[in-house]
Amino acid sequence: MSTYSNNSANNPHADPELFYVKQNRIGKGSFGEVYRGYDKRTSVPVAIKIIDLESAEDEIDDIQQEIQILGQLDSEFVTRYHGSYLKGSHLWIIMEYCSGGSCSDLMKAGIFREEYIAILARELLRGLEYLHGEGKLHRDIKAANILLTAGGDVKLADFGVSGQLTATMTKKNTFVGTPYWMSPEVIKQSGYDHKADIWSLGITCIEMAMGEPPYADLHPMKVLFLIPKNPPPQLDETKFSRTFRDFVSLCLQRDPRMRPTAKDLLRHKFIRTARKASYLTELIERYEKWKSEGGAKSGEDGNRGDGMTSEHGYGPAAEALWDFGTVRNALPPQPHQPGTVSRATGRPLPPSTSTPTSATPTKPDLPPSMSGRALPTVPHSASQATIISSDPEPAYQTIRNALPQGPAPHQHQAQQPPQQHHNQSHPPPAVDHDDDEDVMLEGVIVPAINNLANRVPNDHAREALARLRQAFIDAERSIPGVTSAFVLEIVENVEQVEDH
Amino acid sequence: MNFFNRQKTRTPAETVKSLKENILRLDQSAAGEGRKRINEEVSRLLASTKNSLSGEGDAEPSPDVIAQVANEVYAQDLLSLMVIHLGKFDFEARKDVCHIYNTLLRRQLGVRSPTVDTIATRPDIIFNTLKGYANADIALNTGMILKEMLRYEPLARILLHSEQFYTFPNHIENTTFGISCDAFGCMKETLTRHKPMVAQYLDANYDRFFNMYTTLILSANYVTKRQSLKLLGEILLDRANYSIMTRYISSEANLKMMMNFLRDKSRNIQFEAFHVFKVFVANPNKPAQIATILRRNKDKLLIFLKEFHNDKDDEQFNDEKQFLIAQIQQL
Repeated sequence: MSTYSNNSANNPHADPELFYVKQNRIGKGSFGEVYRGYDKRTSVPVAIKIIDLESAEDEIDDIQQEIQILGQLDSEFVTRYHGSYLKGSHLWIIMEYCSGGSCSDLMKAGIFREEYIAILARELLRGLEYLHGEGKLHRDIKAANILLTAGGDVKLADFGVSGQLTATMTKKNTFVGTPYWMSPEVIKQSGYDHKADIWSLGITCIEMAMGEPPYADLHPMKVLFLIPKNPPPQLDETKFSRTFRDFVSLCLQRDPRMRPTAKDLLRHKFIRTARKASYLTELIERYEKWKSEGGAKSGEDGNRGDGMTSEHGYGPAAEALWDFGTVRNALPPQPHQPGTVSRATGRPLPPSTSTPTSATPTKPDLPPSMSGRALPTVPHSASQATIISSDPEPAYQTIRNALPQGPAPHQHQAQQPPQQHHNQSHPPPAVDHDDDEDVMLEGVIVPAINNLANRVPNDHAREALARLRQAFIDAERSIPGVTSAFVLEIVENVEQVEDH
Repeated sequence: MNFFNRQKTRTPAETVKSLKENILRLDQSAAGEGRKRINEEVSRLLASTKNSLSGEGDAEPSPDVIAQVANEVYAQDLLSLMVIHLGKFDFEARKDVCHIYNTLLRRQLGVRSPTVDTIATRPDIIFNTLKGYANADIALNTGMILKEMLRYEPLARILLHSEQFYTFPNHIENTTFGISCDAFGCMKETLTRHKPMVAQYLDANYDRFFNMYTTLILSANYVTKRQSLKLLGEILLDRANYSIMTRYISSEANLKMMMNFLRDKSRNIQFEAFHVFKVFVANPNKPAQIATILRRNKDKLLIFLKEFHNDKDDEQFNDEKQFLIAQIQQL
């Protein structure tokens, strides 16, 4: 079988191109690409996200779980999900198309006035009220994820799937995005709930009013320390009304329990006095005008999405490549002792000594390391397996991985990171040693070195990096907390360099 | 304001009774205004039943109310009716049905799980839930209910031992991505959650099961193929399935299939195949036919494995690969 396809006779429903026409590309992310398109049956425009499952970092199960959550949502304040289809190894996720663009696009023509922000905040709160009522979190509220329809209706986008794939931390614990909208408790991983979205809403209001979220000019790593440490950001009192400032400060309270719910905030004066959503079309018109005057630097708008090439260089499986000829000279097989393997990770193999059925002629006995077949929920590599949240809610997956623990002694009790599985290739942490430091080692330093190891050209360089990694592990064992302090030092210095 | 015509408040048990009557009325009424009104009533009653079971707002549900509702649900045969008629309910009502189902399934009285016990005497409920995969509108709702059922061994056993179990490939192959994955997930749940029970079944039904399973591994659908190879690796390497593994890895046909998958155009499929292939090679007592194939391809395999996924930063994988190379060299 040299190509994968769905449009076989017995499965006529699976080829997305039977139902949807893919047009120009409107966006691109680490997860794949977004196209505009339309439904052939109704001519209704749609947004088509295409993810190549062959190169996606996430397990198929996780992507499917997120899609399943999307399918359970039904609100005019959340972009609608129309279905997903497989074409070869490419997954097409069909979503509602919002022609007005995102708030982050619209802000290219200038920051928003308070009156518009009030309308946007009200519509967002309605979306959040719905999501939170359904027991779901958005986890990624920011201007870029707020879409407008042509009529000015506001929709929360990137819930779930793309959140999974574009969020700040990937499963490899590597740092890919920006933490500017994250609440203190999310950064500290001290357990969080729907109030985290309320914080992000407050930051988004500042973003729309100022053009950028607080600390936007700082290094993201530095920001991870500042958000839990500093007093919450505020709006400048000389520039903004008291009602607006009050609204934002209610959202941005450090203690999540003090933040009002979406329902409460809908009763705030700032929201109650907001005008109809259709006024938001003025923002769209302003942007169109700005663009027609040459404001937009081409962007993605003109990109023509041509067909995704799915053919890889791998040859098809051909029998001829192996020799399965008829059996001749069948010599009795040599029994081999399994090789010695130093590390034993994962599930033990059935022991050869206790064969359940004595009639079985063969007694395969694999070395211990063979037995660690990756379970679907356990990521493959050692560095991934080190920290796994015990949080059962799949929707939390994106940011669960080792974020550095902010120094906040008053929250110490809640600060225990989610249960940690220490891979046996790493030494166990010293006794009485606060888990925070370990998280910095496993969550920041080790993944960073592993990433570098992927990029260096030869084994010699890889060995050097392996020694560096071991040196960190050893140092952390002798001086618990040293990694955390080291990273802080670096961040401080990076900061100073950037300031100059 | 209507003070005089207030509906009298029903007890939770009366709500359930009324729910049944309305569901049956859905059957008889033709589409239109009347049907719409009945649907709204069904939605309202389901929501109210859900609230009785999970407590309204922050209030904990009362055990007494839960018992009333549960007993009435059993008595009115609603466990069956809700699944059969799910496709006629409104969007939110379907979600409420899942919620009601899950709450009831988890309900325990001492060591007894009364809902599980009830369903165990009614296999048709399980089979009708499985059949939900054939209806795209409700497939994910019924999938959720099915997954919850499969947590309980008596129910998983009924499904695994049934003819209907063998409809999974149909549900996996003939549906769109989301439903296909969900169906695969439930099949996987059936095959992995209750290990001793599954091992016993696979041992007794080895040929039938693997005939079916091989069609999934050979699927033209990328996701089906990749997921089923991965699950195969997990099944074979599970301690409980030891004797199944020894049978699997003494088959020439299985080895050939895996060797071909090692050369699949998808790297993920190559990788999943590796985790099955390694068991053939690591077997210290390889049957003659297996050893012969490996020996015949010794040089090719050595060259192939040396170049196989060299860019992987996965110590365990690299160790395993080295081990395989050493084993093959000694052939």
